Order: sequence, then structure tokens, then C-alpha cells
Amino acid sequence: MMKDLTLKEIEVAKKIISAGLVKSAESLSFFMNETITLKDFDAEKNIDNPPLELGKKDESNIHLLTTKVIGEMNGICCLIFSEEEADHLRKAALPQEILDSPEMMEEMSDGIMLEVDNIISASVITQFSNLLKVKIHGGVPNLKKVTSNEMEEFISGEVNKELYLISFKTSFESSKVQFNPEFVWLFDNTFIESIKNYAALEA
Amino acid sequence: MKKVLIVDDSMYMRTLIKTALTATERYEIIGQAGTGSQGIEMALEFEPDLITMDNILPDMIGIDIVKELRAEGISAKIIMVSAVGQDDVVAEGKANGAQDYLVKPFTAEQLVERVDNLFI
Repeated sequence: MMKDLTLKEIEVAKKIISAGLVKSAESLSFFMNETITLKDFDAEKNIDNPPLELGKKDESNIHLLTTKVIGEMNGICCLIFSEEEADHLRKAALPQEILDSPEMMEEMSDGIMLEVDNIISASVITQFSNLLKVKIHGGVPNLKKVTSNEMEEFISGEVNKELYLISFKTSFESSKVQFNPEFVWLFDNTFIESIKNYAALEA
Repeated sequence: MKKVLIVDDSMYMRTLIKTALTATERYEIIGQAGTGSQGIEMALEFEPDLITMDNILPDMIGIDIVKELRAEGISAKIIMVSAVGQDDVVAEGKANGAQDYLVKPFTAEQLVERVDNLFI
């Protein structure tokens, strides 16, 4: 885990994770047609062993989007929206002709969420892949609408497989409205090994 | 008008690409495929001038589809349109028969410009 890294390696890890998360905010900005930033991402505080303390407590119909990381590093990306945040994103990202059509909305409503997850996951994966020189890509995204208990059970389940030993969490911030989707990544130990290799090359 | 086949498992992306290209009145969408196997079938049947190709499909990887299409003698221009943006993946796509590789997200204008450039 992070405690297995030297101070230099931790700095490298923070740099790479931050670079990935900045990319994710840029991608989300594209869909929202406004500037989305990371909300006070504190790498020290937010990169930790699971279990995580997740927000969106006491909520139902949480949109849990997941994309598996496939290749030389294993992981899973979770993008978590409340129903209200998902609606806000749809209104910002979909053309008016689709918003005005109940039939088209029924087809596109989940599709836009999946594409957002696809692009955000891929933007982070691309950063990690290019920087860490690992061959990885994202799988096909998946959307589940769950209660907060089900969401925590899902993430705890992934953690309990003992595959995922590092996680980081942040949330996004819009200048216009309350919009704080959460972004959780879980990686196996190959992430730590990749950081060590990268830090050694930088030395 | 150039005939276009869209291969992408995302309905949102297929709609975005179709809207952007048809608005120019230079391109006609003659098919949309949600899987790789469907894309190959449609390419062989419709012989498009252009194929927009996603890289991660439920049944196949886009680069493998491109290789198979070239092996079948399909001469359509191919632009890969994907969220997968690693340098080596982009290079591999172009090395195996795609004329261009556009990384998502992109605007409609960016897509049209890159597609127009393929037919200059």
C-alpha cells in the first residue's frame, strides 16, 4: 500500500494521480459545457486503504458507473452520481431535441451516462498508461442504479476480493450548481509496482 | 455524397457522429453497427467510403476489426474514434490501416474537419 512507498515514490504517485484526475475534470467539463474542477483534492488524505467513506448517504437511485481496467494493471473505476446530478448532466450534455422527446430520452438517458463514464475513465487510464508505460485500457462501462447501501456493498465487495489495495476518491465542483459526483478508483498492487518503476527511472 | 458506416456501441456517440456529419450535407450515413461483427458484416455489404470505428466494442477491439477489414479488401477510409488515447494505441491504429485516430471527447467541428481532411 502507500506505506510501502518511499517519500519520493509517494510524491510520484500523487503527481500521476493528480494528472489523471485533472484530465477527468477536463472531460467532464466538455460534457457539462462549463468549467468543472476538482474539489480540494488532497492526495495525502484521499489516497488510502479501503474501506472508503463514501458520500451520498441516505440516497436511493444513485447512478453507479463502473469500468474495469484491463491489461498489465488491474483495477476498477467508479463514478458515482446522485439522481439529481445525473439529471443535471443530461440536461447539460444532451441536445434540446433529445431532451424534448420522451422516446429519445428513454433511449439516450442511460447512454449519455455510460459515455461520460467511458470518456472520463479513459482519460485517466490514458494518463496512467502513458506515464507509467503500462498497457492498459478500459472495458465497456456498466451502469447500475442503486441505494447507498448497495453502492457501499458493491465497493466493499470489490475490496474484499483482496485484489484492490489502493483507492483514491475525489469529487468535482461546478461553478454554477451543486454538482459533486464522486470518483473512486481501486487498483491492485501492480499500481504500486508501476509507481516504483517510474520513480526509479526518474531518479 | 460520401457513404458512411458508424461502428460504436454507444448510441449517444452514434447519434453525435451522425448528426455532425449529416449536417454538412456531404455525408450520408448508410449504416450503424453496435458490435464489431455487425460492423464487419455491414462494411462488406454496403462498401462505405468512410468508416468511423470505436476501439472498444463488446465483442472485438477496433484495431482488430480494422485489420480484418483490410484483409477482406475493404478500401474505405477509416477514422478511429475512441476514448482510448494512449500514444502506442493511436500509432497501432494508424499502422494497421486506419487513416486517422480521433480521441474522445471532441466537438462536432473537430470531427467534421478530420473527416473532410481524409477526402482532400
